[in-house]
Formats: sequence, structure tokens, C-alpha cells
Amino acid sequence: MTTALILIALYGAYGTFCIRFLLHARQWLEGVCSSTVPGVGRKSGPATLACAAADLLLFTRLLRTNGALWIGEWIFHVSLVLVLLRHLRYMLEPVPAWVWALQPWGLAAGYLLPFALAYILTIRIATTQELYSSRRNLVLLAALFLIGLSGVLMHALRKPDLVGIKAFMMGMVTFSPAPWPGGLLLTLHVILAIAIVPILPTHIFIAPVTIMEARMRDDGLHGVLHGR
Amino acid sequence: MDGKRSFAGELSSLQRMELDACTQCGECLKHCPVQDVTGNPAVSPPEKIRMFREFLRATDGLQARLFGPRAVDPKLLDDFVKAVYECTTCGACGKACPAGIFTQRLWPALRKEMVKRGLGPIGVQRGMEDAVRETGNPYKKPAEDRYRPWFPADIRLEERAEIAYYAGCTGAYEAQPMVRGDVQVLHAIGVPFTMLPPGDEVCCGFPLFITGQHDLLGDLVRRLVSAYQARGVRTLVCSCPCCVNIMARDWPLLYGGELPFRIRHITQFAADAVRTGGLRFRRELKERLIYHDPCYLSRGVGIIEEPREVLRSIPGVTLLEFERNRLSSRCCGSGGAARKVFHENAIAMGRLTIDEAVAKKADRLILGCPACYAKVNEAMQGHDKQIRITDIMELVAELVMEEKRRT
Repeated sequence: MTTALILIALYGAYGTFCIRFLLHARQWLEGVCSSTVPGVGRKSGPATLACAAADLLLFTRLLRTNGALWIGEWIFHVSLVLVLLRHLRYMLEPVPAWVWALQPWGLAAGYLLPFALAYILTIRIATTQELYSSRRNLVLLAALFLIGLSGVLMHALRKPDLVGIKAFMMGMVTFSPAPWPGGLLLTLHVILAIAIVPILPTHIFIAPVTIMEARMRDDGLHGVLHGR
Repeated sequence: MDGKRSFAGELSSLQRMELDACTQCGECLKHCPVQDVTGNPAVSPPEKIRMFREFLRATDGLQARLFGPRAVDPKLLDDFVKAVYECTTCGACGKACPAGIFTQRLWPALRKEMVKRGLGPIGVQRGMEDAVRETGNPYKKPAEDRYRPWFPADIRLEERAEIAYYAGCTGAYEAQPMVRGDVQVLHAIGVPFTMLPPGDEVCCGFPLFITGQHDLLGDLVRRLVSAYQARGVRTLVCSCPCCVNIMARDWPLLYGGELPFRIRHITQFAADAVRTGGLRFRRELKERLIYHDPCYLSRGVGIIEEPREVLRSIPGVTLLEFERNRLSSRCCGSGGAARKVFHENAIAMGRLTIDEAVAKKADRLILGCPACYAKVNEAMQGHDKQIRITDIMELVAELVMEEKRRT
């Protein structure tokens, strides 16, 4: 029964998310091919693209506006990527060598993740300089914190049934269900991972495009009236 | 207007992406001049985006696609209209945005959608389109008064010339020392220049563009471009940041191709003349000047150093900077046609500019925008802090004319 409920919730939540993502992706693809005013105030040379890549990877736009938040956000995002990549070992068989190679990094990132989230939440809630808080963002951050924390606790205190998890996850991705391995922390971990799906922000997919576009615009600004 | 019609109709694909890209982090609020004077997060950039996303979800979201669009909450729509028109569209939020959203262009697009729905513009902005249609300017002033009150009698205009000067409606009717200074400086540089007859120099379209009223834009632009083309113009010079912005960014699209002339801001022209010796100041001006970057000039078209270059070339001048300067400058309250409806906000923002200039012990506040000029002067009336306000070309003309009188 538990297996069926969790599977239905996982398929439902992530299936809906995929459809939502595809709908947005269609608009994004159209957007990538168009600019608001083609040719006016936009530069796209190699130097600009290199800077855009740096903006993307190092969050330099946030660094310029809020250094304190930047360090937390950067650690959080990098940790999250490493943790998600570490989780690929549950969904791939055989597990690729690069996923194995990333395991120690993913593990370290798993421990950093809750600290980074706690730091971000502290800045967001406790400091007076933050003038605006989105309730949705706070809920998402808190849920991610609990997901991260339960992951750390499972690694440090109560080891779950890893073989059972692998069997369940492989069953899910191959549509041949295997029983839910159980365990309170693991169940909490997965339920929260399902619960955040409806509030997952689309910016994680599209902000890279707008950040790159902003760099091209910033570098091209001088050319608006200085060209020709 | 069908309440269930898509809210995405007036947005480019890139702008739809930008709406998705907002992380609701709130960093922009620290740079928003409206927040500085109202402290009301309900009219902040992330709230506007959050509300508009709700509208998009109602007409274009997954649920809407599966089960049909639904009507949006009218109260939320009212709140949004107020918020999007209370904004000065200065673009400081976009400059600070970690996701790089180009808000200086996004807000006008959202306003355009509101106009299409019959919800915008608001207040006195509603009369602008008719005023432009009837008189050629948004102030409904007679065309014969466009140049007469300020144009210097001793300056002769060419019928045809490679350089043309566009005064703009706000300069001509509301900031006359500024436009008088412009033509005096052009004259002092010694270049022959032309201007359209007052009846032909119609609105550049910016006030209509910024309030979301686009119906007349194409016609206005074609009329102006053809008129300048007929006079053999190769360079169109203008001092109004808003006019220059729409000319450089939108005229080519509205005209339907590359313009037959280039657009230049008057400070570019003056800075060139300073560099080549065509404009030289001999008299010392022992003053501490503080220059305010107009939003649509610095963030809008990247004219940042030229005004400073001109001011620094005046012997004796000490040039001061606002805390927020260049690309991060704080709006003086006049932008986005919001000053016409949210007068108190505009006055409060203008006073912040005055207060900082006074606190920095500046002798003069140098402005470079006719809307700023009119509103900041208005903000000083009845204010406990006072400072001399001068437009940059007004100052240059003042110095040049004085030297001329002496020789």
C-alpha cells in the first residue's frame, strides 16, 4: 500500500512537473531565438560570452548586490547540483564511472547543504536589510533544509536500506515497481521531495538564459548611441 | 475586453522568460526609488511579477490549457494596475536583479497589456493620446508656443543641414532653460543645424510608449523621420534622455528599418567639441557641482561619461557624485509618467535627490533631463533644503554666453 501511494505521488508530482516544464520550455525556446530589439544594445562576442558564463557559474550579479547572501546561495546551488548528481547512482545501472567519482564530493556537499540553507534562511528572516520575503520561497527553502537534514541524518545516524532504495528507484524509472524499503527518515525525505515539486521555481531552468542575455545587454549598452 | 484573453499577448518571448526567471529574492527593493519613499512592498518589482504570473497562470497555465482559461481576480488586477503605473520605470531594479531581468523594458510591456484590456493608462495619462493627436504634444499646448518663448532671437536655423536638433515636448514646454541652453551650445560650437517647424516637431512617442499606448507611435515616428530626411539630416541631436532612448531603441522598429540618420545625445556632441577644441571654457567656475544621471540616459542608452567630461573641462569645478551614480543612479521621481499621477511620490523622490546634494555640500545640482528639471524644481518649493538647480547645457551655455559678452 505504502509502495503504491509513494509511487503514485512520485509519478503524479514529477509527471505534472515535466508537463509544466515542457510548456515553459516551448516558450523559452521561442525566446532564445528572439531578442526584444534585435541589434540594438546587444553584444555577443567571445569576451561577452565568457563573461556571461562566469556570471552564470559564479552568480556575479548577486555578488554585486548582496555579498552576504551570495556566499550562501552559491554554496547552496553548487551543493544541490552535487547532491542530485550523487543521487543518480540510485537510478542508473550500471552506475557510470563519473557518478562514482563524484560520490565523495556529493557526500561533502550533502553535509554543506543544510548549513547553506540555514544561513540563507537566517539572512532572509533575521536581518532587517531584507525588505521583501516571498512566503513561497521561505517554504521551499525550509523544505529543502529538512530534506537535506534528513539526508545527513540518514548518512550519519540511521543508515537506510540502500539496496532496497536502489531497487525501488530502478523499479520506478523502469516502470516495474519494487517494494518501498521503509524507514521514517527516508519516508520523510521522499515525501518532502514530492511536496516541493508544485512550488519548484521555474527560474532554475530559465535564469541562466536571462543572466546571459543581461550580460550581452550590459556589454552592448555603450553601442546604443556610440555606434554607427 | 475578454477577461480570459491571454495575458501574454503584448510580451516578447524573452519577456515571458524574464517573468519566469524572477527568483522573488527581493534584492531589487533596495534599489527601487518608489520603495525609498513609500516602503510599500505591495508595489515592488517582485510583487508585480508575482501578480502577473498569477494572470498568466489563469489564461496560459497548465490548468488553463487542459480545462480552459479562467477569469482573474479583479481585486488582484486593480492592485497590479496601480503597482505597474506607480513605478517610475527607472530600471534600477533590473540593474540590480541577480537574474538580469530588463525591467526598464518589461514594465512598459506590462502597461501595454493593461491598455489593451482597457485598464490603463490611469489618471491624467488617459488624455495623452488625444492631446498628442490634436496638438502634437502630450501637454495639449499650442504648437506655436513650442519654440517662441525660449528660442534665442540671435540664433539662425538652417533650412537644410546635416545636423538637426529635436527639442522635445517636455523641454520645450516645461524646462525651457534647458532647451535654450541646448541651442546656444550648438550655436557656440559653430555647427550649422536645422530644426523642424514647431508644428512638425511632434511628440517622439515616449510618453505614449511608456504608458502603454502604442496606437499612434508608428505614425509619429514616420512623420518625424520623413521630415528630417527631407532636410538632409545625417545626425539628430537631442538632450531629452527619454526622447533619445525611444529614438535609438524603438524608432528603427516603428519606422520599419534602419533610420536614415544617427541619433546623438547633446552631451556627446558637446564632449566631442570639448575634445576637439570647438568648445573651450576660459572662465573659472569655483563651484562644487553634483551631477545626477538620468535613468533613461545612463541605464537606458549608456551616456555616462560624456556629461562628466564636459563638466570636468570647466576650470575650477569640483565634480561630486551621488552615492548611487552612473548605472546605479536613483530616479529623481519624474520617470515613467508616474509623476503625473503619483505626485507625492515624485516630490518625495525629488527631495531625496535634493537632500543628498545638499548633504554633499554641492553648490549646484546639475540635471540632464527635462522631466527631472521640472519635477526637482517643483520638489524644492516649500522644502527645508535648497540648492541651485541647473541643467548641464544651461550651465555650459551660461559660461559660453558670458565669455562671449566679455570678448
